[in-house]
Amino acid sequence: MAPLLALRNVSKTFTRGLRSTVVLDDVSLDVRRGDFVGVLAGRRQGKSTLLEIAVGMLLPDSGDVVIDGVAVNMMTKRDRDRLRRSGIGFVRGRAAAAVQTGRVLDHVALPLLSDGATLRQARRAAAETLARVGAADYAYADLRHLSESEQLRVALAQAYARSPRLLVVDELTDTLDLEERNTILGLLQRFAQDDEVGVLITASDPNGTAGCNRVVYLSAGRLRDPERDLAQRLDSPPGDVVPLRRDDDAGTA
Amino acid sequence: MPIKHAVLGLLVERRGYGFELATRLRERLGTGLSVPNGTVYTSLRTLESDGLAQVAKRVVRGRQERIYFEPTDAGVRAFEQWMDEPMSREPLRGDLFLKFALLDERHLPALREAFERLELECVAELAELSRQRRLAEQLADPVPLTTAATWALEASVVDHLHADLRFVSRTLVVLRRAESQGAIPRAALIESSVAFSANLSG
Repeated sequence: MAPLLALRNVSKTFTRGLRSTVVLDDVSLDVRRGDFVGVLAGRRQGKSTLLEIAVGMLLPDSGDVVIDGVAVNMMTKRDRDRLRRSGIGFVRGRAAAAVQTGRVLDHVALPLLSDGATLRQARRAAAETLARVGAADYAYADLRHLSESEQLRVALAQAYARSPRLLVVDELTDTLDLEERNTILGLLQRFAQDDEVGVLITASDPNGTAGCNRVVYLSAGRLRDPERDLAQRLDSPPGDVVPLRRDDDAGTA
Repeated sequence: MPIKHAVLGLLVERRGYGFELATRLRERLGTGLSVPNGTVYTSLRTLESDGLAQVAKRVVRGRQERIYFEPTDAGVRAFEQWMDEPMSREPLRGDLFLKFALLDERHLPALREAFERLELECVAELAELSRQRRLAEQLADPVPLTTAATWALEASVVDHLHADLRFVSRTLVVLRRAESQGAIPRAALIESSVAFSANLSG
């Protein structure tokens, strides 16, 4: 089975003035259905860059990004945006905690409305997802009045309401206390196990990867993957790369 | 050697044979704090020759012989005494630190390779721990003492491993730069300290 997400020899360098920093150096990573993968890394080691590349928001300087068999870096920005809407849930911990206003239920229902659902359908789906993440109690509250961890649950619900195949969560758990973090990790673990969603998260300490079935480590641009590096198995074939022409419809990929 | 006392403690709880004791010890210590079975067998022999444990019975099943041990009265006293003794923290004086402290240019490539291997080992152990660790919601409430002890031990093994991993990663920055350029830009050294310091925020 082709992986849900495959990064192949991905490199990325940021240049600021005369200084350039190699953030990702020949990084390869697979996320399969039902995988719960944690990327552990110190500060400013390229965690967010890796995730932004994985969801097609950012293009690598070299290497391939393949989502569900579709090569993302061959697509137009519009196609990438469409792919991200249809198949990928992306939650940024920090942005989720930023102050927003409005009713929680509507906040979660909004993306479904823009996908073409009726108000009734969208609200019902939103309510179900909120219950799933343990946020049913404050579905009718205003976002402003939620605690940080409650806002994170709502952000998760919003991303999850569209039934993504791949859920990518950046630093979601770093600002939470140990118990809240543990609960959210349990939730993500269930998404992976029960719904066969591929879940990819980042953490800057290993308490944030508890429950992951795979942990990789990003340091000085290099990704250390014990599963890949220690076994040195070369027999697992890379994801099938299907190059897209510019105007192909990739939304259903 | 403290393992000897831990094995004695298991015998005080109830008698047992080598393999069974090794299994029980592994369960109690949780993942990540492993003790090789051989160490348990060695401990049993030492305990016996020190008069702290004795053979309770021998059970022969097929070609296998199980030798059950039980503590002697002196053994029970020795265990209680050990549990009540004051403890100290383990000093940092492993190979890892001493070799790094004493390196010069000649040793750079070999040491860099060794540290790269150590980095991967730490990540592999952390990955295994992440897989095995029970999340809070998977625990019974209230948590029985032995489970709670294992839980707390596992958390400290994770912290320990993470500290090692940070040390190794930070050191690798130094080793790689020194290998390619001879000296390390000050900014790079400071940045590596910040990147791999204990987590303050993100």
